[in-house]
Amino acid sequence: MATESANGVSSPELNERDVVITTNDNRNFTVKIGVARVSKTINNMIQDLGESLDLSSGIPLPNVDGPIFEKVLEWCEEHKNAPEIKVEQDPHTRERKWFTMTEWEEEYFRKFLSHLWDLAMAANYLEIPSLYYYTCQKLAERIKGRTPEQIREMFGIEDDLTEEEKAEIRRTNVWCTY
Amino acid sequence: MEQEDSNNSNQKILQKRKSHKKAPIEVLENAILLKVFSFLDAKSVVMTEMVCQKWKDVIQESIDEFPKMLMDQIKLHFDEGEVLVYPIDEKKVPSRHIMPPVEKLSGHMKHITINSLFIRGLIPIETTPVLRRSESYPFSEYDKRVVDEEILHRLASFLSTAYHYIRQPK
Repeated sequence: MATESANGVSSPELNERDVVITTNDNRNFTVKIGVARVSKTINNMIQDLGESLDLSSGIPLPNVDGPIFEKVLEWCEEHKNAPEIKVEQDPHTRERKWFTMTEWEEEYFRKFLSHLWDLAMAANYLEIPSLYYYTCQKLAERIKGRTPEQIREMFGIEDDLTEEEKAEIRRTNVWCTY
Repeated sequence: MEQEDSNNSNQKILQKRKSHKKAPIEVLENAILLKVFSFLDAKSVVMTEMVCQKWKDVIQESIDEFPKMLMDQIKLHFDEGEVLVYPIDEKKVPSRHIMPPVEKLSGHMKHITINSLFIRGLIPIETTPVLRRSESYPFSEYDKRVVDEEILHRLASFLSTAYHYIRQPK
């Protein structure tokens, strides 16, 4: 991944150079281009800027805040040489195949368990497929097999369905009990 | 008194919802929710539908993309106004249900894939009275003035899409 050259400069050389990235709370992060490029959004910006890229004045990220970007960078550092993930679905049950995570990845999500939604948002915006899919899988892992009440409590979601609506859903799904 | 309280809270919920506009951030959130839900099995999807309004909408808007619960067979007995659902596990007894109003049949099938669908009692003279009875299913907001042709028309439109619920051969 990320072997294509930007602006005629050979990748290995460019990847070692630093770029400054500014998050929406005006925090500056100095990052190796090879690491920043794990984000396709940032990679595209670097390529688009081409000649005019001023590595020291930096790239603004208006949709990500510092504390989350810090966590995202940890992921990028670890995954800078990782191959593209393969997204697969069982054609018959239509269930998505779950990814097997490394010990490092499991630990990463344990550490940032309370930031999963923010990580998913950031990974989606920054186009980091590995982080995006893996975070979504982690969220699904927490939802799976739990009752609506447990899920609401876990994520602090307000119960905004009326009793009639809940009764209607229950009635509609009454054939689904084994 | 209790009834009143529950009505009040329902009204509050509905009012809140009305004033709630879809912000761009919400569109993004919906895409993420969809991605999260795409990892779930059918049973969990059914549970997840009851969490809140937004989650319910996300699931129902993209219902075709979700995994389905596999059942062996569903028997629709229009002449007797009942439905039998046979699970894949032959040792388990089939469950028996009252025939829902015709327009709600596809809603009942939305999380389900079946190996086969059995339909009995489609002779209008037999079926219409039963269907009319099932239209007054305790929960439906049935309009008693509805004419027979209308029921039969809705039935025909359900049947014309029913193959959709049968599992494709491997």
